Amino acid sequence: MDHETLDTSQLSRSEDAERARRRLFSEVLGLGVELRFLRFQYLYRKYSPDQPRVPAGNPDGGQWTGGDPTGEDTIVDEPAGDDFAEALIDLIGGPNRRQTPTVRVGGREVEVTPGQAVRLEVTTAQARAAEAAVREIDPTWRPRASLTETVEGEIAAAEARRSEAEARLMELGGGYLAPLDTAQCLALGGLRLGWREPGAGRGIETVDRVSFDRILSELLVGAREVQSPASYNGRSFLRSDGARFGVRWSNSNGPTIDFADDWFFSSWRINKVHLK
Amino acid sequence: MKNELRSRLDGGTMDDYVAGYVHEVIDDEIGVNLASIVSDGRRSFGLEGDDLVAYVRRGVAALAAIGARPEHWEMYSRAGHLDGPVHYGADTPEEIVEGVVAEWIAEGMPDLGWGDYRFITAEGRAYLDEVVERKRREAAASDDHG
Repeated sequence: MDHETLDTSQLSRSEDAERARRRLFSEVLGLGVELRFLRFQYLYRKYSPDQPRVPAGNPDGGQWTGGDPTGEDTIVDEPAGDDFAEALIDLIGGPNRRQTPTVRVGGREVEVTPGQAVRLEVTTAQARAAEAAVREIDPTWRPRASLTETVEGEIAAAEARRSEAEARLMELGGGYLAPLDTAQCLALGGLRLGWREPGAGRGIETVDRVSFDRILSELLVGAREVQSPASYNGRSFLRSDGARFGVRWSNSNGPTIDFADDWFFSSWRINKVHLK
Repeated sequence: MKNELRSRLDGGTMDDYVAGYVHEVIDDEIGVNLASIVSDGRRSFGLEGDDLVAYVRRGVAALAAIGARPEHWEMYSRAGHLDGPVHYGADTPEEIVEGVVAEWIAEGMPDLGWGDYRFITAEGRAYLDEVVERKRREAAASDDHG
């Protein structure tokens, strides 16, 4: 019992260190995008349908003014309407910004289609979940190593690892891994796994690779694939607790998990998870 | 509008929340749905009745002002909406705001689903059209090999 207590304590310290590292990382990252957001917010707050314009007939007629109550209005050269939207999109680098998915295969970065990127995310997460289930019973077990040179080879290798792990589970008599509740998948141990990017809407969490893999692996345990909406650029799943979620390649944000319903925790909620 | 209200969840202001919708609709091709706006009004700010309508109107107006247009994704519609874009008159921002809010009120101001009134920009829609076309090609190729 003493031995177990010691191990738990060490694990706790290790998790604290990991949490601190992740928080520091997110803060540094946040500073990088803060300026971009402040510029965006500056533009957004300036735009108001009620904001006064310089009267027609004036050389600057139609332009927005600052609406300064002191009467010392200055001409604001920020655009409105379509121009305003274009300015925002340009600023944020939104839908016009394209991310080409790449994965590491055989030691080199390879460009893949969004569909391949999503299939690789899902099959790898499924393999990882199955492997973790085996190691709970047989900690020394390892799947056979495989060498691949293409993304389809990587996907096939992940599927093979999953099959191998499931077969080993059957041998060990532990062929069923109980799924966690969806809420537990998103807030393991009550921890907030990610952060909200400055400017991002509520409910949008951004997480690092470790957290993304962990969330996706847990979500996929016992989940079955269901048909996706026509416009959805990914795969949709239904969990045993009734939660529906999708995994897709977001044009601007890369790998993303969407939830059909909001998940509320003490002071935050999740309906989307991006990987950064 | 009770602009001084702060979110029960995270202390954010209504301005913060509305700016978040604008950021999201530009930053992600699948856009923002009315369900999030309604949920934020109800759960984060504790609004109901006219105050909730005013908040929803404000969120929709911000999205419509930057060119986002609503559509339904039937498969994830909680309100039973059929698949496709939704049009209101000449689809001016003002008509969209009045049309969407009036419909939602007529439906009884319900909490909505993930696929109800998804606001998507023209750029986002163009990308999603590529997605649909790619899916169609992949399905056709799969049928050919099957």
